[in-house]
Amino acid sequence: MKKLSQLNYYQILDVDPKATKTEILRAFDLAEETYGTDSLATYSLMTQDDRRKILSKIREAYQILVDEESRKLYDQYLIKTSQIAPEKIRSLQAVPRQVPAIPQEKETQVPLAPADAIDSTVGEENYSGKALKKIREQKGVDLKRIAQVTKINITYLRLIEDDNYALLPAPVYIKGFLVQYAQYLELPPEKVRDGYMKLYNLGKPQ
Amino acid sequence: MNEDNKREIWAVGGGKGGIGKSLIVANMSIVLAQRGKKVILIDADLGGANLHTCLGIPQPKATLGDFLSRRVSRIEDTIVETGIPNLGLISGAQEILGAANPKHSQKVRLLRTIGSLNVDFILIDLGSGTSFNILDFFLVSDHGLLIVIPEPTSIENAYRFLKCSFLRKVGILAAQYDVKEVFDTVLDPKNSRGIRTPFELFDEISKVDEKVVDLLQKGMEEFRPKLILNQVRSENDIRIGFSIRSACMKYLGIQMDYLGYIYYDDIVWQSIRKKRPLIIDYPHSLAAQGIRSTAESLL
Repeated sequence: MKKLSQLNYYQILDVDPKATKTEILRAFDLAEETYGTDSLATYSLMTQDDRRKILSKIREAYQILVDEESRKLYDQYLIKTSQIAPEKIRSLQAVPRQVPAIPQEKETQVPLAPADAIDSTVGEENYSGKALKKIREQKGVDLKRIAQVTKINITYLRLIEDDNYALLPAPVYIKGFLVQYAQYLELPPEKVRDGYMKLYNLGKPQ
Repeated sequence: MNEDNKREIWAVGGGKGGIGKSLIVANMSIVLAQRGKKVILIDADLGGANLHTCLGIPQPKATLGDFLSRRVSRIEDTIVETGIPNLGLISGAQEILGAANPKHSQKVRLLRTIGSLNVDFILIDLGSGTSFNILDFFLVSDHGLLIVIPEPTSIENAYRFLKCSFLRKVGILAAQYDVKEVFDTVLDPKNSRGIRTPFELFDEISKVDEKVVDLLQKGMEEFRPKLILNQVRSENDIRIGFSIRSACMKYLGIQMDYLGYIYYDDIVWQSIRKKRPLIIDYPHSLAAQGIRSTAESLL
């Protein structure tokens, strides 16, 4: 019994990981119908707000899976994190460097742990992914929550925290993600962005 | 017995009356019997039994009520011939008002006896509603079939039926695992926690005892009802089945199979008027084809 937040994008869209683009489009159409305002199938079961939340996750899944490049990235992430066996997924090709930006939406932030709870051993200028992860954990913030609020795909947030430069999208997107990530954690956005990118430029794959 | 030497019980429910449960289960039983399976059809709609009419036979003299009240000692003595080879019928209680709501001990005896019948398939027609009696038959079956028609009231009642079945099953498991106290604490009516979905139920249970949740969730994996959409008129109607399945999975955490759909067909009311089984008199009708393929998908 998995909650929506525990499902991968294929499960959210109710498609096989080897699904064709047409199948993904069809599944998305059905999902829009299922959780739309006039849906006969769900109106008596859930509130408008419940439906909106589910639909938002479905749209997020659709955006990633309908785009060939972002889907490949996501597939690699699923394999790397052992969420799916390689043979269950379409054959993978070279990792692209460009992915479409994910729409952003402002939402009220949840209160964070007090600043003095932060471990002072984390260097102020050290904004590697690992350091950022440590700060986040000390602040008691769930990565899922950041993904939820910033609408950044959690896959990208994990790749940032893992310092996985090879799988990250183009720098322009990383910078945007870092700024939002930092804002949510109440860290200086420019410093985080520049600090992380400095390390990225030193270690990025050629 | 069937190939696997296993007796299968199919129970057909749906929460709402008048959606074609009896017609479907009667005709499904004929499909199985025509394939050479030994089948017993049980009319467990104790308050409104009418399967005999769907099969075109007169009201049987011995009924389930006689067995429940011990006027007959063996359930086999309530089986009546249907005129269809391999198919026997145990009719529901007609005359005893109290039989519509049997006592717990009567129900246990009935369930145990049904399980000992020497046949391949036992198909049970449940009445409408969500009483414990109905839910228990649904839960004890190998396949719990949920009939829904693409109308708001039927869909609403189907969700209610699913939620009640789920809750009942969790309660039974909690008693089996000796953790009923946790379950009862969470569902204490004096301290309503506003639980709307199985997910919320488990969230609340985990606040009391986290280990219990894993145990119960594992036990609930076997709860896998099967949806049959009846009286569909269009492709959009057929898609509603997929939508219900999706909502059950994402919102309720219930894995449901969409077994099939049956087209709305004017022939159906003609067969009912004639008191003749649809699948025998109109085997090539759209509705008969839908019933046949749905039944065969479970074989």
